[in-house]
Amino acid sequence: MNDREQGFTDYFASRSGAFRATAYLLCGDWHRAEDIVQTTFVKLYRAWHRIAAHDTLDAYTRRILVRTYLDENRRGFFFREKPTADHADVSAPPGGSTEDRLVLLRALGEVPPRQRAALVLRYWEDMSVEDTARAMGCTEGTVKSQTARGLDALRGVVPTATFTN
Amino acid sequence: MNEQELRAAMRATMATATAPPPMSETPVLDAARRDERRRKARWAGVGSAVAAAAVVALAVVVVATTSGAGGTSHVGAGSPTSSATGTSSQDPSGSSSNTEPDWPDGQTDATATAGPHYDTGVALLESMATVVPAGFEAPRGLEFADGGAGPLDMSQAAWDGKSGGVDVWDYYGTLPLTKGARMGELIVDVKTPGNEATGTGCDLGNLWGWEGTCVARTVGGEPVGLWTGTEAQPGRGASFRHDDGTVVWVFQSPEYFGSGRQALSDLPYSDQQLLELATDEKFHLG
Repeated sequence: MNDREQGFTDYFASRSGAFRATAYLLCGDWHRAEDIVQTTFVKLYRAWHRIAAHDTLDAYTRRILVRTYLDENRRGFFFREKPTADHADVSAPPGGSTEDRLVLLRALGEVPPRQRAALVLRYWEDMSVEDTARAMGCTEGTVKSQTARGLDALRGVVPTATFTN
Repeated sequence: MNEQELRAAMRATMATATAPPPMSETPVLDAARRDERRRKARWAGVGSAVAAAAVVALAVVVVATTSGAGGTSHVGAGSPTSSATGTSSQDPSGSSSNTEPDWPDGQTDATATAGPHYDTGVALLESMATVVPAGFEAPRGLEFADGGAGPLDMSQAAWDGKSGGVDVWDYYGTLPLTKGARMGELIVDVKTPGNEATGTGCDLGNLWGWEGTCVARTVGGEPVGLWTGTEAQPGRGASFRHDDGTVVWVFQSPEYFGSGRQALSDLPYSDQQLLELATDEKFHLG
């Protein structure tokens, strides 16, 4: 393994878990989340020499990830395989909030992809409007409108006071 | 639900979600290496073409300026002149600072939103609508049941880079096919000459690399691959390469994922019909 590959695999080992979590919130399925992460890192590898030393590496990778997710949806639902099983996702720790988790994921599933991406980047990744716009490849105004619409959509499908926190 | 509640809900959700084991870097690195090899091989082909053209040009000059002066011309074989791709393709070392492709026709990304290639994509979808089998309908303008992007019937023209100085385009369309309340879909994907696909028939692989099994068939003496999908990606497809290099995949699925409709009880096309669709001049786009 050469230096390039070592650097790449080190970065993958340290960050793929976080990106997979983001992808999971975007798509609601661990299998698809891993597919999205894999595709993201294959694309990242192409530019590794150029981008690896930059402190914007995470932002760059996140942008690939979000666009991979959006592109997958833009190209149509046929492009992705159907989830056939709940991937190792049945042993949540006790605490009574598994139902909440499913409620949120189902609710997010009702939100169109771009709105969902805006919500996940803004409220899971805690990204600014400006950074979210950069990641999604759109204007800040679009991020604001997509976020507002996404929240409206969630309010329409999530009963109030659902989450126990 | 307000912003703070959503933020808290997301954190609570991820705190209780039991993630699968960490992803292994090995398959990802392998996939990245394969991707790079494919891209290098593609550009090696382009470079060879450029080199061959340069050799011919140089030979002409030599012949014109000398009389029978032979010798070997050393021409840079790995210097494709196309400006069509990013760093890792043009320069595997990654040392170039320019990574943005020069999109064709003033496009801002790979997808044509207007112009002749966009029109070709639209025409593909219209051609698909002319081959709806008896007993089925192809409703237009229906939306995904879960708010997914775009209508169920859609087409796209995506620029796939350059090969030998020629733009390569990928056109595809998807059309819902209904019988009563049930719905399946027809997908056609066409790659113009210079595409990366290799071989003919089954060697072309399944649509978009989907898994499946293939049986070699012929139509008019030409090899066509007949594909059977998997449980996760059900359906049947056909793969065909025209003599000029155009590659066509036709795929039918008994269901249209995301449509909210029940799957068709039977596939719309017979195997023979599917094979003939793949070779049909309607889908021989240039």
